[in-house]
Amino acid sequence: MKTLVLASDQLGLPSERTARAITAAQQLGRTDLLAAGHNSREKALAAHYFAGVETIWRLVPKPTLPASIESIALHIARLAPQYRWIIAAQDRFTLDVMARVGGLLGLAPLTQVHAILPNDQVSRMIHAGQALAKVQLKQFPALLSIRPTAFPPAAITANPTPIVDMEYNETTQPTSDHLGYHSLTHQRPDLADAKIVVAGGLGLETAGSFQAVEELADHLGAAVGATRGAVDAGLAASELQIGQTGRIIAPKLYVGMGLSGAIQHVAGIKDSEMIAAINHDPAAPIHAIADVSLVADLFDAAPRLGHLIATRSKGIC
Amino acid sequence: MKILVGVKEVGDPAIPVHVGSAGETLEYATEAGVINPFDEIALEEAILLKERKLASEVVAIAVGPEAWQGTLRTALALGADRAVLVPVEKPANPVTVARALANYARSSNCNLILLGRQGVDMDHGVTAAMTAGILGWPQATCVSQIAWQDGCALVTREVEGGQERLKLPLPAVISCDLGLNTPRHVSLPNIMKTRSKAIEHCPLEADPSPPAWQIIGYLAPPQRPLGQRVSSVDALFDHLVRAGVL
Ligand SMILES: Cc1cc2nc3c(=O)[nH]c(=O)nc-3n(C[C@H](O)[C@H](O)[C@H](O)COP(=O)(O)OP(=O)(O)OC[C@H]3O[C@@H](n4cnc5c(N)ncnc54)[C@H](O)[C@@H]3O)c2cc1C
Ligand SMILES: Nc1ncnc2c1ncn2[C@@H]1O[C@H](COP(=O)(O)O)[C@@H](O)[C@H]1O
Repeated sequence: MKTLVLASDQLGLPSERTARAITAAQQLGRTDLLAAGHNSREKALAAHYFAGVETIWRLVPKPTLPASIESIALHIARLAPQYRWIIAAQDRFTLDVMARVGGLLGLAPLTQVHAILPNDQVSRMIHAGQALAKVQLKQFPALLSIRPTAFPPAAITANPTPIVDMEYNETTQPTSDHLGYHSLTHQRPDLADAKIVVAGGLGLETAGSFQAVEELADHLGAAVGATRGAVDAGLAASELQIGQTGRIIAPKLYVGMGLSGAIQHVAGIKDSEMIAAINHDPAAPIHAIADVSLVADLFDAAPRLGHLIATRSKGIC
Repeated sequence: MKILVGVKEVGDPAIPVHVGSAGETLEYATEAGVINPFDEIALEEAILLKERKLASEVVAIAVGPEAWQGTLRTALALGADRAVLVPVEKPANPVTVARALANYARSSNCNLILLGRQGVDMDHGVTAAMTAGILGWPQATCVSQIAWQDGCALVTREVEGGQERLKLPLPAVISCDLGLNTPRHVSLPNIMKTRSKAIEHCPLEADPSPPAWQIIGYLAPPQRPLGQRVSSVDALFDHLVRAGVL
């Protein structure tokens, strides 16, 4: 039996995470993909060139029927018996759909899936990444929500996958009504896609702003991230929070400054290729986690680092 | 509006957890549990609605061992009208929790279920949407703002890269994120006052089907290689250049 991948979402746009879910699905065999939501067309087109998908189902929204999480879940629950695995890369959209499908089928989804193991087993991250639980699956279809950072994106193919339209089943269930999206950080790359992320914490509080972090990020063309400490202090928007209860990232380079490296924050950065840290307290836990770290005042170090980067990119160095 | 709040007890998130040497257990440095931080937010929101006379009753419910009575007492001391324990011996699979919450909400005519966005121990984050699916009610997860208008909830939820606004008719299930409110502290007089209050027990209904999966062991997470400490910004810059990440 096949695997169904549910395409991911990023503030109403298709997300690269979908390609990572396809990689996970490929470990399990033949794969179809479902593009659902009011942006199902864009999602289907974005998945068109990912290698390894047999059919792309596109759930066509109807003017009379909102493409809500509730109606998408109902639709997937009806498709479910045809599949042994239903997989998505974890984000708010897919997690909500998967969990609701789980309620409809009486099967709890496995979230935070870190690896797919032989013999219908998977491992998932728990306790903010302090442990992995090994889980034996017993009922199918299995609903898996993978940590996107644990799987590489699928390759691109020259032969696009056919897209087949699918009608929504009518439902009389009351659903939530989507009123709109609101984004606060359009100017910089998104945390999920950025090659470099510069994150700041409560160490910025004395400055009263995130400017030192933002300036370094702009020198690097990087995304800006924050700790919950910084969000709670009103220094950064909540959508910038990285960690157990924020975003999970895996950039090539993560630079953390003025943050202590709390377990809950580290849960979101531990898949990064390289972790660099600047903190003036030599005992801060972030120094122990970082691949390269500097004990220094960030208000001296960040501008200097920014200067070195700027002069290098001008070719002076 | 009659509100059901799901509360679970978790190990103190400030205290590290280790995998036992045989990989069969998780070792907690302390026995003391706390109310799941997000459930505190859910409870606070329910109590605020009651104080604003928008809710008539707030019921806290936990699907857990008898030892969780302490957490339910905290919920009473914070302002819940009633506390219900659905006793289970082992930590319950999310499907068991969701069914128990749905059954209780149905039989007691609750029309709003407020939960936390996730339990910070097992990090599932599925119970709200599962419960909503079982009941066929609308859902909104990771909600950081709620306004009430004509009996509908106008919510703002945290999504990747921003926020989404939704309108939900009641009955509905909402899971709460940071920023929704600042939970109050339990006061000593309130703890004393609720000491004599009974924790109601509600037996678990037999599961119509066995859980989809079972935990068979624990593994330590992959360790990152030991890092290097540099002594100047210039050395940091050189390191990053040599590593090819800039
Ligand atoms: C259930 C739960 C979930 C959580 N989820 C998350 C989450 O998803 N993400 C998250 O980030 N947190 C989360 N937290 C919070 C987390 O536990 C920490 O409280 C938080 O990450 C601390 O933020 P911080 O590092 O900015 O602040 P602090 O821990 O206060 O660290 C500030 C650091 O800045 C350094 N510093 C100060 N001034 C300077 C200077 N001038 N130059 C250099 N260094 C300086 C200090 O030495 C210190 O180490 C969660 C907590 C709980 C209980
Ligand atoms: N055993 C339980 N008893 C009561 N409520 C629970 C239980 N487990 C989870 N919940 C509720 O569901 C939310 C999400 O939990 P989870 O899906 O397990 O991450 C929690 O924040 C609680 O509000």
